[in-house]
Amino acid sequence: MTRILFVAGVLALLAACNDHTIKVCDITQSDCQRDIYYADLHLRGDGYDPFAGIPPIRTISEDQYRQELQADAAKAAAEAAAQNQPPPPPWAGQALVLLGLLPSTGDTQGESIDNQVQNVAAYYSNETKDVTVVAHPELNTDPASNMETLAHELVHALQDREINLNIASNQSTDEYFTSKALIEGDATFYGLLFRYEIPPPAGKQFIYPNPLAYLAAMRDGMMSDQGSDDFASLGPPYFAVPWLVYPLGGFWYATRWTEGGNSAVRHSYASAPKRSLDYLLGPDVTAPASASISCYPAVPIAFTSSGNAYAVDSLGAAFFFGYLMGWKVPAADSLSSAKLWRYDLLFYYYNQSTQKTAVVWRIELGSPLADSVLATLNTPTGPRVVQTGTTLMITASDDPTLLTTWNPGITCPAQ
Amino acid sequence: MPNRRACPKSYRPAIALLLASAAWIPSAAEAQADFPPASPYPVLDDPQAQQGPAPAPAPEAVPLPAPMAEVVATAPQPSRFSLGAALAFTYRSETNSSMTIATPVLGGLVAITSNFLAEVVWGFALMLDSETSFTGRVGNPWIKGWYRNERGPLRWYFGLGITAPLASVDISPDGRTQRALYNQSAAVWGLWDDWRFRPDRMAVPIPAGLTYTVSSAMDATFEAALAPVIGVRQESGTDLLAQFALGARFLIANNFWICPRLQAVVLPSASVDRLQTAAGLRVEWTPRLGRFFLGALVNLDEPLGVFGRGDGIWSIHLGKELGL
Repeated sequence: MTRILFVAGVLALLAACNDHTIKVCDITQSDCQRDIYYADLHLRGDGYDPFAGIPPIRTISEDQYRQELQADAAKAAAEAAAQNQPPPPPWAGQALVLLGLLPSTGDTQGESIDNQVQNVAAYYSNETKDVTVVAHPELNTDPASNMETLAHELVHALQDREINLNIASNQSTDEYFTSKALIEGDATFYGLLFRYEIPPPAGKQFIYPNPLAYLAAMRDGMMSDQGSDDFASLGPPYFAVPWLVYPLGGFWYATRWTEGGNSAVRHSYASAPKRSLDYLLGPDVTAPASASISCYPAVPIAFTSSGNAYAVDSLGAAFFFGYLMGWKVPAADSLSSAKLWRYDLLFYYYNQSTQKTAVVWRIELGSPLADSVLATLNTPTGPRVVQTGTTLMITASDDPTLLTTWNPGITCPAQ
Repeated sequence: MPNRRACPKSYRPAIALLLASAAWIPSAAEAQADFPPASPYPVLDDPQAQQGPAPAPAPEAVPLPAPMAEVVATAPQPSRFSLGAALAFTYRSETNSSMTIATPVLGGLVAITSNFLAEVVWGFALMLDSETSFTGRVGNPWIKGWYRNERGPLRWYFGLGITAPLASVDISPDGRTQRALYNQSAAVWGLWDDWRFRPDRMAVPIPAGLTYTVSSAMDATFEAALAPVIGVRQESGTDLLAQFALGARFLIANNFWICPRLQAVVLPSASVDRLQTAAGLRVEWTPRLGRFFLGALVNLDEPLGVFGRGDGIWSIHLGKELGL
């Protein structure tokens, strides 16, 4: 009897003094990995699935990462060739160059690999089910930051059993952005929540009081045109915009968590934004309705594929923001202008005989852009930007003959 | 702000219940049994034995008239069928949100012969969260056959069962909620009989148990089970679960028992944690209608338990055991 009472008392005392404080550790050690995994489970509040273990974790150098990316690209090209798939069309990359979203020098694939090597800290592969940490010698080697990175990637491993990490390839660029914002925003938020569980070193404190404030500052910094970590530091606009999924998505889920905890986050996946516009506006802003575009631009038949564009895509408000930033519109004006986005379609045209590309980007706006923004966008060498009412037509081509006579808006009146 | 509860209050009710129940135990040794002990929970009960033998007439009892005695002698045999139900629930409070988890488990038992029985149990997972959103999912129905026997103070049983993998999780925006519901539902049982609530998996559990009747006011039980668990649908591979429990029952008053229990679940090889332990304490009431119980279970070690960085998941259990 006495023993039972003693045991019960000890249990009660021990139970009342458990501790969720995270201690700084080396993420290459299994005990550290386990602690981070348990912390993720605790922070997400979803309980424990004993059949889901920690994915294998490896650390590679930047050179190794570059070699793997190059090998992956070569493998994908070889597989495509083996299946008699056509090589990537030349117009796809050229259209982005014409719009100023990619630089004119270098190849797109090489630029992409460079950008990833420079910016990727770690990644989770839902094919091989493992986590890779990329060691950047010149970057912060703070163990707590490494732990946050691993916490982020382990959230992806948990997501892999909950939501679809394989984003459908037939989505528009804007839809792809929002799918990534859900996945990365969720992981960014919980990774940061984990970071705030690690007590700062003695005498130091967090600059921002909570993850929400941190993510707001991160978003504002990455979307600014000032400072060492501004938008331009992320690479050319086409590569820079996808990095915005981290602060924009993270801020979205941090807001939900602040309002309603894990329950609100769980339920917010189903109502997550389907347009990058909604991430730009923020989680508590009433989303304006989308516009529509039901006509194609006029273009010489030689630039069409059986009378149609070679491809049509919707880039969304986030890439419109990137476009504006790329053409040196001040960050505040770029953001306010991008928030006017209501819908867009990017039409790709290509002349097989001359191998010239033409591109039309039609953007429907909630209200016209400011004259100062239009003046900045219309440069002698850049795309032609014409605003008619609330319709913005951005046209560009590497065929000077076409540009002299081309008016793609003739058969596509402003709506 | 992040959850920094050094001394969380959420499971204090369970701890209090443990302590309060433990305080009852002294009277157990002094109490006189006036009802044959049933097996410690959740040892399979004998639907017939549960009725207990008729008490011997006291010396001063007046004999019944002959016709009445005949009626007693030819009283109908106890039913071969037995129904039971149990409910385990918990309330979890987190930063900015909360959730209530309830897992009703329904069961039926039929005695094919005095030694062979068949049983089916089916659990359900229910959750109401602070977003006032209700989520319900079915568990895996579990059908099993038992062989049981006894000799002297020992009773033993073993069985073989199979679960139907009805529990599933969608890979969708609701996937996290569904998986959380199943994880929490398993956690309120300390992952005991985990295959009842594990989605996209089927199992072939082999349970066994041994009960030793120390006296009419005390018995002890050891239980174990081994279960190959096979992935179906989106899951794959086969892994092994094992579980062990030690329990005891002490008679504390007329038809009232106090029942402490320690259990351990050996988790699959894929699991980060290889052992989940839990402690339980329940009060049982054993009138002739059956065996009713009310108690608490507390997970002990990480990642679900109250120690270390565990989630501190506790639960309240109540219901009626099979064995009417």
